[in-house]
Amino acid sequence: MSRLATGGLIDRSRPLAFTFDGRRYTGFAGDTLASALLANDVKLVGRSFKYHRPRGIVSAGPEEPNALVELRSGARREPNSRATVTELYEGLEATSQNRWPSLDLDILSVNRLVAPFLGAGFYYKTFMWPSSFWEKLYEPFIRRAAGLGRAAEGDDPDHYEKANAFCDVLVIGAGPAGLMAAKTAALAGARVILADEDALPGGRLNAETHEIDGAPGHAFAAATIAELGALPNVRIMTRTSVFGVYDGGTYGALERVSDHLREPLPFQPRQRLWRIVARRAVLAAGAIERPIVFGGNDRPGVMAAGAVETYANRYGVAAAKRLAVFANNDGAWRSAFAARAAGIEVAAIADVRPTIAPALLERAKALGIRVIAGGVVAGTAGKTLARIDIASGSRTDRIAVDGLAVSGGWSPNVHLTCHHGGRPVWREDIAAFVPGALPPGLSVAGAAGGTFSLAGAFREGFEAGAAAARDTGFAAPALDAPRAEDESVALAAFWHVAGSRGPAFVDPQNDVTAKDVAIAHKEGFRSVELLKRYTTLGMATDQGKTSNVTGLAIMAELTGAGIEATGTTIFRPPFTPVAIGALAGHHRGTEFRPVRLTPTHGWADEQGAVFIETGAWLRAQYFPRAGESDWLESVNREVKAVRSGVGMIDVSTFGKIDLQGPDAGVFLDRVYINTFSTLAISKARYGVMLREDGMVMDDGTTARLGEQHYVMTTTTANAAKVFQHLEFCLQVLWPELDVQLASISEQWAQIAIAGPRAREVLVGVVDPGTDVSDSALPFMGVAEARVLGGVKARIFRVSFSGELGYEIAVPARRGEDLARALMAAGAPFDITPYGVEALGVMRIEKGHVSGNELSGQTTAGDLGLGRMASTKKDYVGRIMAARPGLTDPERPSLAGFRPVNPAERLRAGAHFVPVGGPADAAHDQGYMTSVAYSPNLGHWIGLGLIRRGQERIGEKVRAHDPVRGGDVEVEICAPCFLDPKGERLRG
Amino acid sequence: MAETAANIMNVTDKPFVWTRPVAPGLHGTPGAPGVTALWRENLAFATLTVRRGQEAALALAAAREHAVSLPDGPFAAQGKGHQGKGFVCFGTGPGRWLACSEEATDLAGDLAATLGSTATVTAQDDAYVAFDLSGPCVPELLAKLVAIDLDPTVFPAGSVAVTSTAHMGLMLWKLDADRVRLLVGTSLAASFSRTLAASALEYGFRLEAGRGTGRG
Repeated sequence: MSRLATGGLIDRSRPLAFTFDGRRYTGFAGDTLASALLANDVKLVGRSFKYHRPRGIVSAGPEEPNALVELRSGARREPNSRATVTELYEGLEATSQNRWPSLDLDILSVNRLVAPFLGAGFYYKTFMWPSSFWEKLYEPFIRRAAGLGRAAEGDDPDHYEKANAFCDVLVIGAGPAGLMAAKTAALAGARVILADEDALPGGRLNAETHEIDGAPGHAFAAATIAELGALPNVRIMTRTSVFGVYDGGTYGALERVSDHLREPLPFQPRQRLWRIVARRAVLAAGAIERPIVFGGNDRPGVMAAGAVETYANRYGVAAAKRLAVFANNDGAWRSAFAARAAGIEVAAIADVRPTIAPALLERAKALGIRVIAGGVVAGTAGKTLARIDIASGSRTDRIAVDGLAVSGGWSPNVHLTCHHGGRPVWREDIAAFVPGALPPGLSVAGAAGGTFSLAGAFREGFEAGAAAARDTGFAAPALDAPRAEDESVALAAFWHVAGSRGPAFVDPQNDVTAKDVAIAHKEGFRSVELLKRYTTLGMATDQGKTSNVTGLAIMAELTGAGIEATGTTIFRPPFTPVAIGALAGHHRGTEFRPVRLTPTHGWADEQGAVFIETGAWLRAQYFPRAGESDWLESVNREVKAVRSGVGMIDVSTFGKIDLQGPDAGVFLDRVYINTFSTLAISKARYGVMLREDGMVMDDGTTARLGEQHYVMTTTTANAAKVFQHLEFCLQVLWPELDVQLASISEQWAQIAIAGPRAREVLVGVVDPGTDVSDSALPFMGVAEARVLGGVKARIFRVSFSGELGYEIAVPARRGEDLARALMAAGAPFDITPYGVEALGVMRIEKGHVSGNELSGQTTAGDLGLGRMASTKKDYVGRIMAARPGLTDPERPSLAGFRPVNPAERLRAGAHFVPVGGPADAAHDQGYMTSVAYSPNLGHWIGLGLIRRGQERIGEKVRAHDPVRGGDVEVEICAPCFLDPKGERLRG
Repeated sequence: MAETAANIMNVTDKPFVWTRPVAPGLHGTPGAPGVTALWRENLAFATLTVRRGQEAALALAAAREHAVSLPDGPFAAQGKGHQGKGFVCFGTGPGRWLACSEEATDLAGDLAATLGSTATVTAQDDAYVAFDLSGPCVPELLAKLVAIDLDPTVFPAGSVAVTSTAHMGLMLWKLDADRVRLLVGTSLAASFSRTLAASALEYGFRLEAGRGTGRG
C-alpha cells in the first residue's frame, strides 16, 4: 500500500470497494480512481494508442493523457474516462483499454518493434494505394488497431438534460484567484456563479501546503466556499466544467450530476448541460504543469511534479516510495519538499539550471536531498520505473527510483480565451503562452493569465472580481487580501533532452515522439497547424494539454525561428470532452423532436389507426381492420369506400392563415400567381404561390369569408414557411398594405368527408335548417354554419380526392366530437375513416400535385399549372419565372405513367430513359415523383416529371431504378387517371 | 411506429408514451410535489392586431372600452370586459397582443365589437393549452425549459416571454410571485406535457387536469 498514514482530504472512515481489470481494491471517499489505484500500488493502467506501450498515471487533473479507462460496464460502459478526475464510488468498475489479451501482456505491443515504420505521416504514406484496398483492408485494419476504448453497445439507460443560468459575473475556476474574484463580486452585490470542475473547490489550495491567514490553504478554501454559499446572490456549481465561450456572453458548461455515483439517483440525470449567460466572466482556470521530453519518459512512474504533490497532500498517497525530481524551475523544488514532508524518500533533484537559488539548496540540504544542478535525465529503465540515469556534464548517475517527478514549468489554461479567435501570446519570462485578445466580457486572473504565485492569484482575483462588479453596476467592496506567500516561480526554459536514450514522447496519448516532430520538420510540415495534422500531436481526448507547447518548442528549436515566431495552434470548444448525450438532452428516441397530434388523434388511436410522422405531425396512415393482411389491403379498401360511398379524414394539419384588412385581396393577388381580389364572398379558389426565384413554393385553397376577410390553407409541410413568407411580404415588401395575419392552424380542426354520399353525411351534422344542397353550397362554395348543436363551423366544398367533398372546420377541441358525429351520421352509408395513404392514392389518381412534386425545383409550368398565372398583375416570382431556363420547353413536366404490363409495380424515384436506349445519366429524361396502386384501375399508376411530358402522351419509356433493380416499360399518359372531367366533384 | 427502448420517458414507473399526454397524478420523486401543473383548456384567447395607422385610435378605444393600457412590450395588462368579465392582454410583438380570459365566453366577439374598427381580432380559444405551474421548484424547472432570465429583479410578476422550449413555441407569463402560466399550441400539448414531466420528475411532479386532459 502506498497510502500515507495520515493526511489528505479523504474520509478514512468511509472505505470504498472498487475493481480494476476485475481485481478488487479499496479506496476512500474523496479519492479519485487514480489516487486509489496509486494507493494500491497499481502503476500500470493502460496501453498507448499506437505502440501499445505500458502507461501509468502522469497527472492529477483533467489534462491526463495516459490513464484513460473504460468505466462501468454494459450499457453504461464509458470509454476514455480519465482516472484522474473520476471520483471513486462504492462498486466502481474500471477496465484498462487498448490491450489484448491483458494489460500486463499485450500482443499488439509488437507494434513497438515496427515503430520505425509507424512514425509521423504513417497513414498518409502507407495507405495510399491501391485505393481499392481502402474499404476492405486498410480501414478495418486502422479501425481495429487504433482508437482507444470501446463505446457501449446498448442504449444508454441514463438521461441527460439541459438548463439555463444567468448572472452578472461568472467565475470559472474556484482556486485562489477564482475564490477571491467570486467573493469580491458577490460582496459587491452582483449575481455570481462560481463554477469548478472539481467536486471539491479550492484548486491548488487543496493540493499544496500553503498557510493563508494562519490556516491551511484547504481550510481557507472551505471557509470561503461556506461564506459564499451563505450569500443569496451566489450559486456555486461544483463538478461543472465550463467548456466553451459563445456569443453574447454565453458559456457552455457541463455539470456531472451523477458521474460520481454508481447510478444516478432516481429521476436524476447523469449530466446536465448548462447554458450560462453572464454579463462578465472571470477566467481563473489555473495552469497545467508540462513535462520535459526525454527518452523513456513514458514509463509508468514518471509523473508531473505537481501531481506527486497533489497525491500526497490531497489524497494522502505516496506516488512513489523513492522519488527523484527532474525540473527546470523553483516550483518543482517545493513539490519535492512537500513529498519529503509527506514521508516520501526523495533521492535526488536534478535541475537543468546550473545555478540554483541558495534558499532552495539550503532546504534540500536540510532535508538530506541530493541535488544535481545542470543535470538531465538521460534514460530510464524498468517496466514500471526502476531506475533513471542523470547526466550532468560528463558524469552519469544511475539512481534506483520508482518515481520521477518532472516539471518543465506551467502552461496557463488559456483555452477559453481562444474561443472567439484570440491567439495566445508568448511570454519569454515565464516561458509560456498567456491569453491574447479576450472574448468580450471575459477577464483572466491568476495562473490562467501567467501569474503563478499564490499572493499574485489572490491579488488578481480581487482585481478581476472588483472590475467585473463595477462593470455590471456594483460598487466594489474594500477587502483585505488574504496573507499568502509570494513564492518564487523562477524557471529556465527547457524542453527536450537531446540525445537521451529511447523514444522520447512529446504527446503520450497519440504516441508522438520528438523524432516524429523532427520527421515533420524534415518533410516540410513545419507550421504548427501542419505539425499537428501530420503527426497527430495534440489531438484526441486531451487535445494536447500537456504536449502542445513542448511539441512546438521542439519544432521551434529545429527551425531556429523561436517560439514566439512559431506561434501556437489555438483551442476550440470544448475544453474537456462533452458527451453527445449531454448535448442531446431529452431529445432522443421517439422524443427526438416533439410530435403534434391532430384533434382527432385520440379517436383515431381508439380505431386502431397506424400513425405516421408527416413533418411534425403524427397522422393516421391507415386504419387496418381484422383480417387484413397488409397495409395495401387496408388502403385499397379505404380508397374503394371513398369512391363508392363516403370516407372521412382529418386534414387539420394543413396550415390555416387568417387574413383580414381592406388590402387582403390585393395582398393575395401579389403572393399568388392567380387572382383572389375578384373572388366572390363565400367562394374558395385553388392558388399557387411562387418563391422569389420563380419556383413553386406552395399551393392550397383560399376562401373569402367577407369583404375584408380571407382564410388561406397551405400544405402541411409548408405551413410555417408560408406564414413566414407572408409576414416577410407584409413587413418588408409592402408595409403600406393594411392586412393583418393570424395563424389559425391550432384553432381549427378540419375534417374532410368525400365520396358520392358525402352530402348526406354532412346533412347529418349541420344544425337544422342549414341548406347544404348543391345550389346553396356548390363546388368551391364556402359556408359559415353551425354544427353539432350550435358549434361554429366553416364548411368548404373542396376536394383533394376528386369526389364530392367537404371540409368542415370546427374549433379544435370539438374536432373529436365532429369525428364521432360524422361517423354516426355516416353509419348508414358505411362511412370509412381513411388515412394519408388512401389520400395519396386518390390524389395520384386525380393527378393532384403534392410535396413530391412541389419539390422546390418545379415551376408552375412544369406542374401543368402555368395557365393559372395571371398576365394582368404582378406577383412574387413572376420575373424570375420568366427566365429562359425556367420556360425551356425541354424541361421535365408533369405527366402520368402506367405500366405497359399492368402486373408490374412502379417505384417512385425511378428515372425515365428511352426504350432500347442506354440507362445512363446522359439519357436521363426525368423521374417518377409519386406512385400508387390504384384499386379502381387494378394496376400501379405514377406521376412524374419527364422532358416535354405534356407533348408525349402515349409514348413509351422505361422507368429505370438502379437502386432497387427495377426496369419497367411505362406509357406516358395525362396526369389524371380517373374522372378527367371532374363530374364527380360537382355531383 | 416502433417504440424506442432507451427513453427518458421511461425513467418513471409510469412510462410515458410518445403519442399520448402524461396521465394526471403524481410522477417522479414521491412526497409533496415540488411542481404542480394544472392543465387548463377552459381559457378564452384572442389575438389582437392593430390595423395600419390605427395605433393611437386602438389605444384610446382600449382605454375607453376596457380600461386597459395596451402594453408596449412583453407585459400583461388587466382589462375589463363586458358584464365585468375581465381579461388580460399581453404584448406578443409590435402592434400585437394576446388576450386571455378565465371568464369570458366569447372573448373574440366581445373585443371585435369594441375594437374591431381599429384592430383585427381573431378567436384563438382552442389554439392554446395552459399549464399553470406552482410549487417550490418552479424556478429550477423553468431553468430547464427556457433560456430566459427569470430572476424576480429581471422578470417581475406580470412579465411575459414569447419563446420556445424543446423545439416547441411557448409563451410564458408570470402570473404572480409564485405562479407561472405556460401556453403551448394545442397540438403540442401532449409532447409538452412529457417535456414538462421529464424535467420535473426529480422534484416530484403533480399534473392536475383542468377541464379535460387533452387529446388521446
